[in-house]
Amino acid sequence: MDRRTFTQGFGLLTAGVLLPVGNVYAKTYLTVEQAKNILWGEMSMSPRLVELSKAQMKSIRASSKVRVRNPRPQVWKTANGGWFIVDQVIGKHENIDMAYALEANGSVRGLEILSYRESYGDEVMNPKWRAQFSGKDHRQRLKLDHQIKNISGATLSSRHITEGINRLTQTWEQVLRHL
Amino acid sequence: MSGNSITRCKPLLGTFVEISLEGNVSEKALIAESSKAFSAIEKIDLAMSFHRPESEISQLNNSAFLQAHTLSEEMYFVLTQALYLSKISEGDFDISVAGRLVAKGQLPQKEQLVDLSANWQDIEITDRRIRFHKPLLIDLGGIAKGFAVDRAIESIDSEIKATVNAGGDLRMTDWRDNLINVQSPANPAAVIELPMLASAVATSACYNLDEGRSVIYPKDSAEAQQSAKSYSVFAQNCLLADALTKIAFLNTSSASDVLQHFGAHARVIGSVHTVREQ
Repeated sequence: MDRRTFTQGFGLLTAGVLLPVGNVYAKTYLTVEQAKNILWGEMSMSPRLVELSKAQMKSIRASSKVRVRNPRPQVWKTANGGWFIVDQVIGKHENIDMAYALEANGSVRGLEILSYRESYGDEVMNPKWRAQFSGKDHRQRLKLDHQIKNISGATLSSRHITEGINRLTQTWEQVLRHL
Repeated sequence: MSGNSITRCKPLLGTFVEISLEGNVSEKALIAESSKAFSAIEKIDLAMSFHRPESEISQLNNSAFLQAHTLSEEMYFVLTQALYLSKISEGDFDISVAGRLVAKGQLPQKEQLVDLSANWQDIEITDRRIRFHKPLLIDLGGIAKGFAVDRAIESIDSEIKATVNAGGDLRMTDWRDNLINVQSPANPAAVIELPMLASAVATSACYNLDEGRSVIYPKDSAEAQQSAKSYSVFAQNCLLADALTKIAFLNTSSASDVLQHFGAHARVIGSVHTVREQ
């Protein structure tokens, strides 16, 4: 028996959309509206125009140890002071569109994957990662195998997801909470 | 009334967990059902993670050698199933192999001493109480993911068509006449179509292994050959499919008898995409 032998069987034809075109595997799960609904229910929210300055990007990078690629994240503020953010996690081989909900105090309320796209290079990238992000906030910078245990060894995908959380909680700490 | 459908995906169990639901109910109802199913998976994830110091499994690993523990309902079910699988497979499936994987650096180090000669027969369960007769470590990585998929499916209203896929440990309610795509063991970008032969399926192959990892035979700790084949096992539930795919992968002389005992079927995909029964 070995826990690491688990499978990589992809998808299914009935319920999902599997597009094995060339070396790309892509799948769309939720629309932004559906994700809003799942994460915040009927809570009303309004878009906030956020443009990070060079200094802010640098500062977020310094405290999250993650490079900030996008100066204009898609951000909504909810009626109770919480946040809904659509963001992209970019790995060496995968692009994951994610929706995050942050509580008014900056802790992570939940997350949903909106779409996943993986292109294969010469090596196999296994989409194996874990996350238990609820209740983490900017004071605890997440590290793999520390607060978040990675069940199958540190893989690129999981590291990028963890980094995405760190970057967004720092974005909240330094920018959003002051809006 | 035409039906609604929804597919969600969340990072859980160390992988992507996809839940697809379809039914003659509102989208809101489908979302509520999928949330229930994700919660069921999270609960198993929390209890059965070898890596979490506060998990039920870690508590057993810490002190079930020193004192008997009362098991939760879920843990009791999974452990008795695991021990039954060990018995039928004569040790080809063995959750106590964790100690030897730690010794090989394939699982994180634990503080306690481990007797590397220990095996599944040193685990005793009586009346929902467990006791280890030797200092050993158990890891449910070969079975808990399938069990979590089962729990998710069971949590969903039976009127709704459901598929739960935890990184390839997959179970569907309407499996008849359905197909799945299994990743080619030779070319990760290619998929091979297989008909569903039961409601659950799991696949083992070397391409799933992280770098530096290997599969070992529980009986003598020998490393299995890194073959360019994948083994998909179809079974009545995902716990069985998950566990039996490990036995199929080891490909011992008794593997087909064990599969037959559980009414399971294996399909082996070779490097040139040949599919055969095991």
